[in-house]
Amino acid sequence: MKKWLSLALAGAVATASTLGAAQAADPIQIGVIANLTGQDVKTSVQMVRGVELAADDINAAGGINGQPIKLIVEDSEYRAQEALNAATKLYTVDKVEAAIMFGGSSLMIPVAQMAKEQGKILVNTSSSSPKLGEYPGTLFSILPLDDILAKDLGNLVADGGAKTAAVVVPNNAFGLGVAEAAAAAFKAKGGTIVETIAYTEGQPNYRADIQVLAGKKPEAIITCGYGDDSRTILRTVRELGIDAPWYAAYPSILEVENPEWMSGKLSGVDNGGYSQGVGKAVLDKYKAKYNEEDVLAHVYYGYDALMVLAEAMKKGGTDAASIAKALPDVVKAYDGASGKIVWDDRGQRIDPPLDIIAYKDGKFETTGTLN
Amino acid sequence: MIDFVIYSVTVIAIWSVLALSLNLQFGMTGLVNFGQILPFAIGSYAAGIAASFGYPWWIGVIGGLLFAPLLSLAVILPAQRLSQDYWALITLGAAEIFRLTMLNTPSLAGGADGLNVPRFGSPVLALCIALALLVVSFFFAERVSRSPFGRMLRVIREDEVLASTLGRNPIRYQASVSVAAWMMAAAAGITYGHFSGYVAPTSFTVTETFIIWTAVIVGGPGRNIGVVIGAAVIQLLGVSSRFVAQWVDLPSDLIANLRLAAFGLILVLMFIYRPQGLIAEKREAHNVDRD
Amino acid sequence: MLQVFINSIVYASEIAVIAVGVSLSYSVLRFANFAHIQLAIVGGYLTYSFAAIPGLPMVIAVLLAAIGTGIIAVLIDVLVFSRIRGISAEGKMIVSWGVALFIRSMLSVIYGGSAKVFDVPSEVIIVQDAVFTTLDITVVVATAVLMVGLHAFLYRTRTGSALRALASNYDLAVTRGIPGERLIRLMWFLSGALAAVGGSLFAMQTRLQPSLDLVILLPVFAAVTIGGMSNVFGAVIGALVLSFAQNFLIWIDFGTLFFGEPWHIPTQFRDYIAVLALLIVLLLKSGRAAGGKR
Repeated sequence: MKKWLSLALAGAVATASTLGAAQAADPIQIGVIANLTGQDVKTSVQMVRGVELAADDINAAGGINGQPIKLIVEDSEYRAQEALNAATKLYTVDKVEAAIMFGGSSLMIPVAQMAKEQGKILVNTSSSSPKLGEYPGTLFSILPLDDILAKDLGNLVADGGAKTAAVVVPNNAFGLGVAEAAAAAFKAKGGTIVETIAYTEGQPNYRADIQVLAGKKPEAIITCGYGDDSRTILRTVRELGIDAPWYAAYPSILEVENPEWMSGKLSGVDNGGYSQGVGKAVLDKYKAKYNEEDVLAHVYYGYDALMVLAEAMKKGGTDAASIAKALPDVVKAYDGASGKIVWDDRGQRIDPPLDIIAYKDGKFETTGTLN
Repeated sequence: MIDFVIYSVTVIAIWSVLALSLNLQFGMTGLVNFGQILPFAIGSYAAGIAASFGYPWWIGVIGGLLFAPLLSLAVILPAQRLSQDYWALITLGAAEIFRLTMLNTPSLAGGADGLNVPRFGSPVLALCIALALLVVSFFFAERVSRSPFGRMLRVIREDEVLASTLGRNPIRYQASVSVAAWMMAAAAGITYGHFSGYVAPTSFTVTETFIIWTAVIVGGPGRNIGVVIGAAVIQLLGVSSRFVAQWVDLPSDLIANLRLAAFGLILVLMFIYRPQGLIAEKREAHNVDRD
Repeated sequence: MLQVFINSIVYASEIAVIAVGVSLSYSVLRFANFAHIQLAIVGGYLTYSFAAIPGLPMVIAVLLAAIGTGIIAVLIDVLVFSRIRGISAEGKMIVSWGVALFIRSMLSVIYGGSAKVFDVPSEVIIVQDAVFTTLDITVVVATAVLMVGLHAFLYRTRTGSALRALASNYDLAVTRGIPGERLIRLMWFLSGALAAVGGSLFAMQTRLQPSLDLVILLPVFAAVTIGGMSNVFGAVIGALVLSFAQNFLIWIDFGTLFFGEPWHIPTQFRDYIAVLALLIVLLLKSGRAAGGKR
């Protein structure tokens, strides 16, 4: 058995070392971990593409002090074990100093712990668990924490005149976090939550879940969620004849199922700043390169993640410690695709530029700003 | 590089213990456990829950090692009269119930958010503990396999009625094996919890159970050395395909899918060309043999 | 009440066709065929492709997809399962997992990993206080027709009887001169075609995604088990039991019934109900099988 194992390992080592030798020269390698197979593939792929667009831009402008960026993209299969495999390969074999990651907190936290142990950098573009604040100097979030946005969402519902509301969110850290903060803000303004539905992600049919809403007759529905599921949910609600207006955290990542029905019925709080400046430029490049119209916010998060990393490498140096030191300063001066980035002292994004957007006749319109 | 080897060997060791545990149940005794991830999850969660309540690590160890075998009895005793097909579904259902319970009890188990577990002080320590656990499990499994007890297990596997006519009570054998095997898997789970530093419901799905099954069947059910090699092959295949994928200059999502397709293909080919597993079980003749 | 009843019937119809295929496959091959559920997804994608041809009616698209998927199913048998007839049921199950993984990944390669949606026109119908759609009716009717047709085939034709003979005792049937291998191929074609129709109906109601098989695995196998594994039409009963349990238990206001305060089972416990229904049925069986039969 020993012989077998050592033989197999030697094979892996040899493969890796030839690879390492071939690439050890000039380019600076940066890791990307995303669930390219499994759940939430669409959002994940778009995040990776956002990073790729940033790499194109950086390399076109001469790279990092002359050295081009080379991305190594690994699949996490939406499984914690595979995410760890991917991260270990990136950090210890490819010797990347920093990696950008998409994935829920169940994948992000183990990888963050490993990155911390290895003294490397992890940039989070998707998870908003409060636990991520426990890795200052290792983990930096481009995605804003949800509770700030959700609080504004709760206020928005109350200001809209609704007295009762139902909450429909996915049964995960993102959904439950939004539900809690939005409900608290709504209640503080005198509203009542008549029903909270936390649905299991990825189900093909949500009638049993949504049916519960029908009897409660809420005046408004508070929601959040990712594309495919939100589409099924919206459709079920429409078919069951529930007609209340929708208030969403990040309405732009929902997938509108029936534009006609949804028109004038969906609004919410979203990250501001995509529509102009860098955001607009990234959107145009995305459409040109990938020939796809349907763009989610994670393109911008991915783009900004690599941009701030590159800036930090230019200013501070390419090793993890220098990046960690330079990042907070770099971010202060950075105005990116997702607007200005403000970090607390743990590297978590707070105070994001927020817009109130509403869905009308097939597209979102900005109807107000909060900051 | 050496860090990566240490990491990989640790992962292989932990999954090997799980595979050995399944081999005790399925390979030797014929118990089709499709919820093999359950005792593993219990171990991990015991470590996580102990840590979240501020207890020292050994409370988690004791909790996991006690709770897993108790639950194995709770699952196996009511199901004893069912055929193996149904046994598979009962264990699968039990594992799902445990996972859903952890998902929906945020106050106890962190819910979807999961729980933090203190990590081993260093990767080398993790490696040593995982290897020690593997060695103990391996010799225990070998010991069982070679003992008269183990031979009776094989008789039960081949023919429960024959075992009964020999004056043995199959359910007692099956229950003892389950208790031992689930403790083993729980120990692997505790180690995994401290190794990865985090437990969450998504880590314990049916998919993980399938990976353990694949390791056992690819390696050769019934042979302890076989299933350890099986676990190693599965992990190394998964990891090395990442290096191969890196050479190919295609869009990353396409490569990710092709990598998994290749994984599926290799699995199927292994079965077609080596149906008895990499290391086949030797037929042994004893005075209580079947024919 | 009527609404919940309708919801239950619709959901049961969505999973019944696929579940029946699984148990048909199980009754002859004697292993849980995970690749079968993946074939339903393949069928959905084929329908999606055929439906994109301008002028082709949806019914024809589904039929073409059924034939195509049937052929793919036969190919899977020829290339893989016919070569490993001798290995253990667990081994075959793992192989079917490998086959499913391969197909799932190839579907992602061809169609991309994100969801595809059918553009099926569907009108909302309101009866009293219950709401449903014309698509719901199509799904329920198509399922009913398929079940009646399959029943007629299995019980009214020579080939059907031969298949059933094969299912109840393979060796005996073959010694009696029934061409076992040929019928196994036929069974693969049939179950593949059935899966394709089931998958297409399912996809029209919801969506299409390469990994959808992992999502419907639990309800489908729960339905098949509740119905008794190799009892082909038991799977329909199983689907109904499961669907009614899930829909009604979440809907019933237990709070008002017992404590005077409105309370119902939170919806995140929907999966629990599926698994618990499965376990309860199994344990009841265990009690009945006290004689040691099966």
